[in-house]
Amino acid sequence: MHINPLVTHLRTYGPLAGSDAIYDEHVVHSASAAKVSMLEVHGAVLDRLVDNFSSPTPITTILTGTAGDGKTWHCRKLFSNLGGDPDEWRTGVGTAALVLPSGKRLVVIKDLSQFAESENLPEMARDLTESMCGRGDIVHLVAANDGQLLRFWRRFEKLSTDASAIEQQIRTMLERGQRSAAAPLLFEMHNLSRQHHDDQFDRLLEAVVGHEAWSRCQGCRLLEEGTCAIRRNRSALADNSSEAVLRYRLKDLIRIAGANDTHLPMRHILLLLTNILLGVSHRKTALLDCAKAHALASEGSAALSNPFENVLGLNLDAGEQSQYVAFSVFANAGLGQETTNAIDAMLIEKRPEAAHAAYVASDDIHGAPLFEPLRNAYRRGILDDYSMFQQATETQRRRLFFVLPSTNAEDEIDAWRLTVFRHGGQYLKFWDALRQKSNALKVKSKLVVGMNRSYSGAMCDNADSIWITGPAANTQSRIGRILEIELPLGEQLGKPLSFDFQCDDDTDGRPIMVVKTRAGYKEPFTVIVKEVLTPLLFEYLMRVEAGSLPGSFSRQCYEELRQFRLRISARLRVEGLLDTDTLAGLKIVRLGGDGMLTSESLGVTTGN
Amino acid sequence: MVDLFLPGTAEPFERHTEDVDIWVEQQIWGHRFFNDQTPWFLLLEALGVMAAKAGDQNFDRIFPGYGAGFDGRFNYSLQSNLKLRTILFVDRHIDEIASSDAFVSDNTKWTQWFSVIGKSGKGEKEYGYLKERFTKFSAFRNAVDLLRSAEIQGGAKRTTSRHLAPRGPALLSADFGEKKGNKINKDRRFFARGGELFYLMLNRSSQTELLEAKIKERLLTEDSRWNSLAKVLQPDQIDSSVDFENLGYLPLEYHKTYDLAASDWTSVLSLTELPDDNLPEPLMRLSGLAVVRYLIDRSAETLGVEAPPIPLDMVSSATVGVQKISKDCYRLHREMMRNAIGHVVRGTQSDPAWITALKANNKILAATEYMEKRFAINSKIFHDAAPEDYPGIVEKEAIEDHDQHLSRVMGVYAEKIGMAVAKRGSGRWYAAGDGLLEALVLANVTQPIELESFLEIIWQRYKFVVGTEIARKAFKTANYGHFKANQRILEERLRVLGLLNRLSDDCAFVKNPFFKAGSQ
Repeated sequence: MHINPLVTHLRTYGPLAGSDAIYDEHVVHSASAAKVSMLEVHGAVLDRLVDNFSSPTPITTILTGTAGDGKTWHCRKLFSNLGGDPDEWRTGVGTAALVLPSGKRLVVIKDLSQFAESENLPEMARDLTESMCGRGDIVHLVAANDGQLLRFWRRFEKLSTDASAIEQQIRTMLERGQRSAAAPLLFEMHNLSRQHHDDQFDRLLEAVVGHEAWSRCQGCRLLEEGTCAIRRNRSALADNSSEAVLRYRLKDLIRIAGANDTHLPMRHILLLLTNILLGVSHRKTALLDCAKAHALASEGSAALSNPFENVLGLNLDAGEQSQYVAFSVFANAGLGQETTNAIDAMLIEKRPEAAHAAYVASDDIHGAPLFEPLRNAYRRGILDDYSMFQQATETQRRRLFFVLPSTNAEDEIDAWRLTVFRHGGQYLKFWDALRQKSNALKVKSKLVVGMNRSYSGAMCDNADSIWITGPAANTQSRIGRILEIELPLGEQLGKPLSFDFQCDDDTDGRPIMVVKTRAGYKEPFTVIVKEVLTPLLFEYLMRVEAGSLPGSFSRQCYEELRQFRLRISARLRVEGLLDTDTLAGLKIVRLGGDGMLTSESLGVTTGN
Repeated sequence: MVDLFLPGTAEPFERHTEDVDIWVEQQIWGHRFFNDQTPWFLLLEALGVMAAKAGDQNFDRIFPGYGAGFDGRFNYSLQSNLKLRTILFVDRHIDEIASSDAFVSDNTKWTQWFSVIGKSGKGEKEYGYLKERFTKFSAFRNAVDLLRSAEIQGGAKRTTSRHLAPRGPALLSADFGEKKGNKINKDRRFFARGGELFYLMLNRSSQTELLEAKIKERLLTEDSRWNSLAKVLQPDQIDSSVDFENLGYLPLEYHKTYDLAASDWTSVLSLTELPDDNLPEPLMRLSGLAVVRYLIDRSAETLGVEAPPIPLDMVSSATVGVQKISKDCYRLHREMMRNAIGHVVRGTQSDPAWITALKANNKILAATEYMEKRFAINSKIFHDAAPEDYPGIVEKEAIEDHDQHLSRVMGVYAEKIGMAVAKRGSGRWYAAGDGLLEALVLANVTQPIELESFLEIIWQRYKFVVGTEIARKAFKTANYGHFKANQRILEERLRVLGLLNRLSDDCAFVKNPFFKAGSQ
């Protein structure tokens, strides 16, 4: 029987009990044991590290990020890139050192948490304080996750005024996602969790499916017959022929999760990809190896390795999948649960026929063959166990998410209707449009309507300006009774204020909502208040625009919008752009018969 | 000397002791916190005192400081705002008239309204000024509509106890009952002096200067448009004001909760990114919290023991262990109040003056005299009991009195500020509502801080226990797993409220969305 050692190595990354793949050290070991080259992806951070430490003026750098984001990997690569001895790396306990081209000495602290109980800790804090202030002949490269880092400095902040300045600076940098410390401190911090998720996903996927050792399948009978489940899953992942394929939908959902502040560390993405490739259901172990792939082929039970189920970790025991963030991203998106009548009709009634042929009948392994027998039984009313039919329907919905097109309009047969992010596809297109500085006015208008409805509590249709309305005095009412200010959408001639949606680099490149102002009619606008437009908030606004309220997350979105409104009011007042003092400025909001909000002065003849 | 106050505390104003049947709990906590006065009413009364001081030429400062215990001895007056209240809370016709088609002209609408608000020309005589102040009747309706929606839900039904959001001096009104013939009855039912005591707490804190400036700038400003709007509805000549003589009794010159209250107020009032309209609510909650802490701490100090902490339950089936311990702590806090009263009364038994009284020839007379001087008691309660039994009788009376009102204040306050819940069958326990959580973040967070640091701060400052780490410090045995779940739910709730960011699996930041660095 033919065996590809790459498959053996890849299993190290998968969701198996006792898998140590989260630690760099174990992966190094596994690769050399399997005699295949390691999975490696190169990113911009490594280049910047090498540039910094080989320059004449290197500065101390902190690598932070969630476990599994490659902190140790980056340290090791930098060390060997600068000519460090791999043996010293292996034997050095917690640290490794070498002399840099600049003559300074580099000390790599591989993992700050390893020193938690060490008696050298105060000394290390003193050394770090020196180097982070840009003094002395030592520079550091420190790997630590953010919580450890904060705890470390909180413990030593009383050491010196420098140390307390560092503590404060790190806190600010983490919260704001800043890379460089403010003078007089001199250090950089790279948060490996804050890289662009889509780029990272692409690089990892290429590293897995494009690994040179796949060529070692040559000579395998299954490869010739085309019956290898692993190879078939690999082809599904590698397929980039159209927009509606596995890899792009995975990437899209990972992007959306990231934009909603659910970050998937690199190692979890690898775990996900491995599970898609090797996952198998109803078997003693949840991951295939070459022997098991042969067994599947000879039994003709190829469907047991279903990449669309593996995405959610459904090949694992119930309860086990929830331990892995990678799977919960997809489960939380509601895959399998969310649907529309049109999609279910296509599955169950085979209507419209063309759609059924294109999206269900076309998959002769995980599509029609899995569903047809149960569908027939259901239609004929001879179903023994309804839950089996329900499960089969959910399985199909999950598969369809990766198969259906993403439309711009509110089509019923649309991949995103199978998730809680019904407007997920539109969000991503909107995001890309903002990045390319194109206008996207149609979506912006819808968002504006959503905001106006949320603020005023009325079913209004005002789409070209934001009506910042609030309740009278301080009441907690959700009805906006008075108009604070009307902010035109986009920059308009002669107007000093502007509301818009845009993309900036300093907010991880996510879409943001901004209020801008300018000093004179010919001056450029500057942003005075901003708020991230997460996919969740986008979804909320789009649904409100469409006339419904999403129960499960409307509270959160409402609060976010309320705080945004309060911050806008307070800032405009401080800037002298909002009159909250005079009665002349007090305007009452009404919903007109045409569905448009109108404002009316109070009509007081006295007073100020 | 036999005194009506505890050693180290201020001498009460004689009128106060005359007003009560028995003067025991007052020596510990003051005179008086009252269960009908909700935290909103407490805030309104306190702001009323501050506004009166700020608006009176005879005082140069709102907070002059302790002044040897004479800081409560002054008279102040609050507007009755009878006309404003009639328009807002008594009238039933403005809306109807404004939207009716039965009137040909605007003029007839006014005429109609005047005729229903006061019979035989009285309406126009009393409210005629309004006509000049609005361009048309519907404008008047709009203004009334807006102010009606600015009412504070204080929990009282009578018109003279209905109040508006405190957004300027013109919106602050006195609270009183009415006697026959429209006479004012200063019954102190809803403004029961709790606000006066709270004013004294702030006045005796160590932050009065900063606080005074912030309060004048943000809470007592005439510039608020709500203030202007209320003035438009009021006649030029204020209709009447209600005078109050001397504030209530707050025994201690200094207590740590004074500073707690003052610094919470200062923090919230320093948030430049929070509009003025949104200041009163968190202040109401934080003031109520300071009062609850004061009640608990004073009992503990009187008894010379440590008070149990306040476990804040997040109310979930995963946190029943927290709920249980929270219920115990709440019960203990209330018991401690009763015990403190007993402790003070029984303290007489070692008082040389009492021992002497019992040895006197006419010991009934001597003992009765002692008790009158010590607890301002009416001697009738002793009937023909033996003098040796007097302390027991006083204690019983004092506790019965206590159970009627002050004892309930803690539960009422904790509940009204969102710090406790009660369920039929399982009683009351400490549990956090969204409003309290937001107020805590506003008062305690500037730059983003880690969740653990936030929990440490609210433990240090208020003795709140939420998560495992603090629970281990606070309780020798407890279901720590439930505290862990409790912390997780808190985190989720803060996130939903927009007050928390999770950066990674290892680190979450609590953030104050209304804080802006460098703008304090």
